[in-house]
Order: sequence, then structure tokens, then C-alpha cells
Amino acid sequence: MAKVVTSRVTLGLLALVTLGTTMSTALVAGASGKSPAKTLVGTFKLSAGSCMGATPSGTYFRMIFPGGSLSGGKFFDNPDSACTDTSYTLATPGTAGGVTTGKYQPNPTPAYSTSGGALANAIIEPQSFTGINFSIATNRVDPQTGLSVPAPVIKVRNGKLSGQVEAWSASWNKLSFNQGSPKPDGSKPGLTLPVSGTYNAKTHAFVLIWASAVVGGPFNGFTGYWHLAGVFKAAK
Amino acid sequence: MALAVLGIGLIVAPAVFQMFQRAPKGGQMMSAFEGIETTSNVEMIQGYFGSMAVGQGAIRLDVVPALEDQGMTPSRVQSRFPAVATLDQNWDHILNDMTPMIGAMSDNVANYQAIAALPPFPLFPYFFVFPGLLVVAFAIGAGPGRRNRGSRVDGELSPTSVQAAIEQERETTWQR
Repeated sequence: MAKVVTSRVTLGLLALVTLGTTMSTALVAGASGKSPAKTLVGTFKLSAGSCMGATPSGTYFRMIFPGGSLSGGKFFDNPDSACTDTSYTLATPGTAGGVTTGKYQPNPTPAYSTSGGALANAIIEPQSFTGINFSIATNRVDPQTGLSVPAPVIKVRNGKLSGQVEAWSASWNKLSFNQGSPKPDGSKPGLTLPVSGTYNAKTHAFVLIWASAVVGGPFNGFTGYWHLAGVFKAAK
Repeated sequence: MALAVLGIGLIVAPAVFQMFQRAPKGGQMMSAFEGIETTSNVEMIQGYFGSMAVGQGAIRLDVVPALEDQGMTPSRVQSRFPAVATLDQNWDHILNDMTPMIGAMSDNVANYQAIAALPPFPLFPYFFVFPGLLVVAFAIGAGPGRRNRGSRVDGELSPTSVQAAIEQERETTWQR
């Protein structure tokens, strides 16, 4: 009788120990998973795009034809690209060094040259696209849709980036194309991908990626794929 | 009377606004755009734009520099290949004109399809004429001549009103 009681007590204790270990592990994992996302306020200083390696690096973008896919294209070829694969349009950082979160970097006035080239030069230097310069700005009111949009917000959590760049606006040939994610109305049409990426808290190196379908205008149905890389510099 | 005026107005309006001449032209315009204002056609033209840009880029960035590398001066290239020079000089203007046009085409596909879903344009004047005729016919049918029949007008007695008065008198006498 005593033997049975002893074995039952032992079994019970073992079960308790097992349960306790499992619970504590789960609690620790849960706690780390719930670490709050930190908003990165400052400037994402861009590295210039480069085609030196096997795959392009730094900051660049591509345009995908309607009906294409982000991985397989068909991609729009920019004859002014410096890459062998001319579907990559490389960017070089502008006067602000890159994209600033928490505030706007609007189009200048005027926003275009007489030939239609974009003049915004804070985020990136204007780049030639099919013979006419394009550039990027973030405006309080999106020039294409006329909707009010928030300034870019990027957050980091466990080394992963997320956020919104609704105000991201490409200018070219006296035309504006919203290239934000999500779109100014909060939607994610077509191949639009949310902002994602990686962030190294020690080196502050980052990679930001998103895709944004063009809605309306001559490039309606196209998708812009954005790859930004560089080093984050926090605001003082 | 007012109904008759309204009906006549509806009948006359298409003629006044020259709808019989203009509506068929609208129909012709819709037919002309039938093969243009489609999403697939816009995408095809977007593709043409991409091909043109690549071609012009090759001329501007490859062909002309190659000719210059072989000793041709820019003025010699211009005189030897005037069409190339003209294309390069006008390229910005071509883009300035072409891309907004593609944009307008693309942005109006839905509008065109909505209008194309309406009945044919040449029928539009008759949407005024036929209702106008109906209104006039109704006005004539409900005119003063018809209304006088079987009803008292301006104190005169009609057969039905006399009949009703006799019956009312009979009822009153019976109740007494």
C-alpha cells in the first residue's frame, strides 16, 4: 500500500516539475515575442545602388509590367540604368542623405524642370528614367491622389522592420505616382507589399523593402519594387 | 394644359438641341473608341512605350556614342542621320505628350465602359420624343371635354348628377 502511495506521489511530483518547466519556457518565449516595437525616428541614410556584385545592392528600384510578378517580372527596362540588367534603376542619396521618418521631405517649388524632369533632391538625387529625371518626395498631401498622408513611420522589433511609407511619391515627366505602402487610402492593391526589412541594432545597418502598385495614370497596373539599404541615424 | 405644354416641350427639345444630328455623332465616337478604350489595349500601348524607350535609349546611349567614337563629330552625326537627331531632340516632348495620353486612356477605360453600357446614342432623342407623345396623349385624354362628361361643372346638371340626386331624395323619403 505504502509503495503505491509513494509511486503516485513521485509521479505527481514529476508531472508538476514537467508542467512547471514547460510553463516557464513558454512564458519566457512569450515575453520575448511580445517585446514592444520601437519606432525609429531619424534618417535612414541610403547607400548608393550598385551593380558591382552578382546581384544589385544598396538602393534601387524596379518596375514590373501589369500581370507580372515581383520575382519573375516582366520588368520595365530603363535604358539609363547603369546595370547590365537595365530593369534595375540605381539611386544615390540626396541632400538629406535618405528618407527621414516622422517628418515630410516634400517636393520643391517648382517640382519639375521645363522638360518634365523631377527636381526633388532631398531623399535621392534625381535619376534619369527613359531620358527624363525621376525623383522621390514625401508630401503631406499626396500629389497624385490628393489625399492627406502621414509622414513615414518605421518600427523595429527583434531586428525586423515594419511600418508605413504612404507618402512615398515618385515624380517624373510632370507626373506624380504614389509609390507608398500601404496606399494613401490604406489599401494594398495588386502586388503591393507591406514595408519589411532588417535592422542591426549594433551597426544600425538596415534594408527596407516594399512594393507598390501604380493606380491610375500612364503606368496604371505597373508595380514599383523598392529596395533601400544603408545605415540608420537617429534624430538628436 | 400644363401637361400638354410639358409633352410638347419634350417632343421639341431634341430638335431644339440638335440631338438628331449630334447623337449619331456621339454613337460614331463611341464606336471609334471601342477598340481603343480597353484595359488590354492600354497595356499593349504601355508595352509599346517601354519598347520605344529602350530603342531611343539605345540610339542615345549606344549608337550615337559609338559613331562619335569612330570619329564622327556631333554635327556630322546630325547631318548624316537627321532622323536620329530629330528623335533625340524631340524625345522629351514625345514623352511629355505620350505619357499623359496613355494616362488619360487608362484612367478613362472605366468611364468609357460605363457609357458604352448605355443604349445606342442615336436612340437618345427618342427618349424625349416618346415620353413627350405619351404625356400629350394623356393630356388630351384627360382634357376638359372628357372631364365634363358625367360630372357637374359650373352649376350645370349632368345626367349622372341628376340620377344621384333622385336616388338621394328617394332614400330620404323612405326613411321618413
